[in-house]
Amino acid sequence: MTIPYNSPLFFAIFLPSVAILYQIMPKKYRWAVLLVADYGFFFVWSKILLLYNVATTFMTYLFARKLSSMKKAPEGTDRKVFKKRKHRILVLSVLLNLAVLAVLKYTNFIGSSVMELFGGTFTALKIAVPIGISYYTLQCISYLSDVSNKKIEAENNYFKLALYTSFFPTILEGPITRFGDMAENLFAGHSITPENLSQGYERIIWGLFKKMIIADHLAPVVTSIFTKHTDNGGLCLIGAVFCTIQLYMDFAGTIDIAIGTGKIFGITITENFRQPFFAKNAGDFWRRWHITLGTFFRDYIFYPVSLSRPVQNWTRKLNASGHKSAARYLGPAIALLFVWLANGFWHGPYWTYVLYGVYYYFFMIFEMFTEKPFEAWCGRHHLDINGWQVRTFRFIKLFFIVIFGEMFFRAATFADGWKMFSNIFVNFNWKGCISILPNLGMNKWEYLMVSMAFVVVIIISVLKEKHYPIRAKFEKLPTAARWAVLYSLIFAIILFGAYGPGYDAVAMMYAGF
Amino acid sequence: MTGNFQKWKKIIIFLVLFCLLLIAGSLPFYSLRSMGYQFVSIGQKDRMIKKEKDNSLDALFFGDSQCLTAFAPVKLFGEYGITSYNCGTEGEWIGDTYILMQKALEKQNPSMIVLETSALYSKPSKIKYYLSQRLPIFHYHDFYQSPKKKIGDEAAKGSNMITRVIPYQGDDSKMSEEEPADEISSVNIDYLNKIYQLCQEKNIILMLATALSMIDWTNGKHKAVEEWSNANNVTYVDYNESDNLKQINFDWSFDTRDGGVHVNVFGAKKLTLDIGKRMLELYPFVDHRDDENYADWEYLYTKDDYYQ
Repeated sequence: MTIPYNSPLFFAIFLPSVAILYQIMPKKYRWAVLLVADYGFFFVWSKILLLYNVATTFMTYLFARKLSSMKKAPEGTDRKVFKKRKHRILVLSVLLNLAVLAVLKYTNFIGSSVMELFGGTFTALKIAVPIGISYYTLQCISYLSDVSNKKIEAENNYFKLALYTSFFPTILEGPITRFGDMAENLFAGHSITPENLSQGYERIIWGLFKKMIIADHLAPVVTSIFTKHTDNGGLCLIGAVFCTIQLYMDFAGTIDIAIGTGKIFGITITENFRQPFFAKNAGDFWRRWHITLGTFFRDYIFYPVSLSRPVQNWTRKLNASGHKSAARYLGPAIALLFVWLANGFWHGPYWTYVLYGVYYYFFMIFEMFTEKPFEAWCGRHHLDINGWQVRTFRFIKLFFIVIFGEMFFRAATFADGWKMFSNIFVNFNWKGCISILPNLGMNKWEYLMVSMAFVVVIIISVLKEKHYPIRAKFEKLPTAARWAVLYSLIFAIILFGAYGPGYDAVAMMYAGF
Repeated sequence: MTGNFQKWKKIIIFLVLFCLLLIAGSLPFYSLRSMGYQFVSIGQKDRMIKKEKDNSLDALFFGDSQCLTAFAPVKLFGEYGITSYNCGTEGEWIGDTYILMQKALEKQNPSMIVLETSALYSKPSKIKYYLSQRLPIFHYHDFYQSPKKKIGDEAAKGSNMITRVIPYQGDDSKMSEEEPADEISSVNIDYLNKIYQLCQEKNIILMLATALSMIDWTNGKHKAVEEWSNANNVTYVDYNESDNLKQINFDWSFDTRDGGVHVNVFGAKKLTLDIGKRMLELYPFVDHRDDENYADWEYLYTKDDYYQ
């Protein structure tokens, strides 16, 4: 048995039960209710594998305590030696965290890749992986690093740290939160207020709307195209667009549910999306899509690599030899390579994901070199950089970068992805694809309904992008109007959601990463 | 404090009103309950059966995936000239079998119905079924949906025939284990009686059959079905019994598609060959093989080596 966020078991039974227990508990023990709920939720999903989370948290707890105790070099000890020792402890703790992740998630990948290289055969091992390991491992690493850098104090209570590393609203798909942002609210035991309860559930409803009406309806069509119709270029293009929409609606919808759940308990969870399709380029896209993963890589890979001694030395040498522009780009180029390889590997033990990382690395570098010349070119041709022409051009460019990226990301192998990509150019049969489309798991009514829901999401996204105060305006509406909107959303989910007979439950897509 | 009380009151009123709207919203969906609990697959199969010429089928096979995979109507025609249709659907519950049977008999007048017995032991979850009857808006909300997967093949007259071989590797002693009868639930027995009644009213011979399954079927289930069939004088054949297994020369290492749960086309051919003989013992079916009106059946049988 599992409890996905989009099941009634979660939002109509589990969540209200936890909320009631939380509320009736004295304030100072409320965090303990959340911890019991976390472990209960984790156990339902992963059974005994919960022990991995417990062990990782305990190891992180001990290392953080040690790092925290090393505030100043003891008298008579060289500061540099002391700093080095502290750094080594931090590196060891991070490596141990990564080792658990690597063994559980990447053993088969590494084994089969090595054997492929040397021509042997590798028998895949059956390794059970606990839920959320990719998420809580990164949280542990950020916690250790922040403690080491004295950004936060190490938590004295193991159980409180455990609450952070197993928090049930974020354990399945993130966002990847920081201890410093979460701790205060997480342990405060805020009372559940009517405002938080209604705002939390409103956000959950919005998430369900995205996931159950749009993403889950598109799921069988996307699966069908990627498995059975890779020869038709038209369908491949539609499949890539649908796959991108499905992934966004699924992931953003689930994050809405997570944020809404946190809100009920007065816990503010970091936003993970900011209208990514309104980005001006690929770099901007990744500052708006899976924001917490991006900021993690920025803070714990990009900056440390850019500022590392070898990179600084090479930059200095290039500067000294007169290659000033090369020197300017060297640090970011090296750091970005690490960031995007990590991004690819983080998504899972497949070469398609690694290539997905490399794909975006290529565009990041391309943009690094072309952004300034492009702006200059616009200036010379009297084109407003924020005008509609440039924005439209940027949107179309980004659209194709993203959908082709998702095509390779979703394809079973790189060869499959390449086949689909090339068929778009050599075997584009529009008529054939229009006739096949209604037979892939959605009929015309379902396409119409998904399109309407998609338009609603786009309108809200445009308003948010224009900084229109949707929440404040909504709160100011008369009660009857507010309720009408909410009832409409709820009944839209009940009537048009992809659940019940005929539907296979669609797993939350990012829970597998 | 008063402000908070007012806000909580509003939330409660919102929820009460929501419940009322839910009940009101369910009203238009009540009539859809006649589509069956698994209305998507039942509806899809009904549409498939309705594509057959009216009153052209001599026999109908009903049941769940065991039925769907075990009986090959095209083979039955090729061997005995009997026209039939496999009306099985995946995970079918006997309550839905009754609904599908009623729909199928609107346009067909078969002489015999073969009911595969596994559907007697499946049942929807109590809570889900209760909700589907009381608040049908949840269960039937997308009655217009497009089926997500095929349930049988029209060219195979409703059956699902595949050549994949995944052998059964366990022992074959399961059916020899002594165990008490595994009673069929009262709800399912009621539906079985209704089916029996319907067949009697329409003058159709009812036959019970259990397809081969090393995983799902037990001696206890066999006993319970046998008790019912003896009490109602209905012919029952269980292919899991060792004598029947030997008679049809069934090979567990070759004739199953998924490690002993369902048979593949090779197993289905053996079962169909045998059940055809038994059907002829119960009713003198006319052989349509040389009838020009059934040339399309002949074509399906001979177009490739699949059924030979």
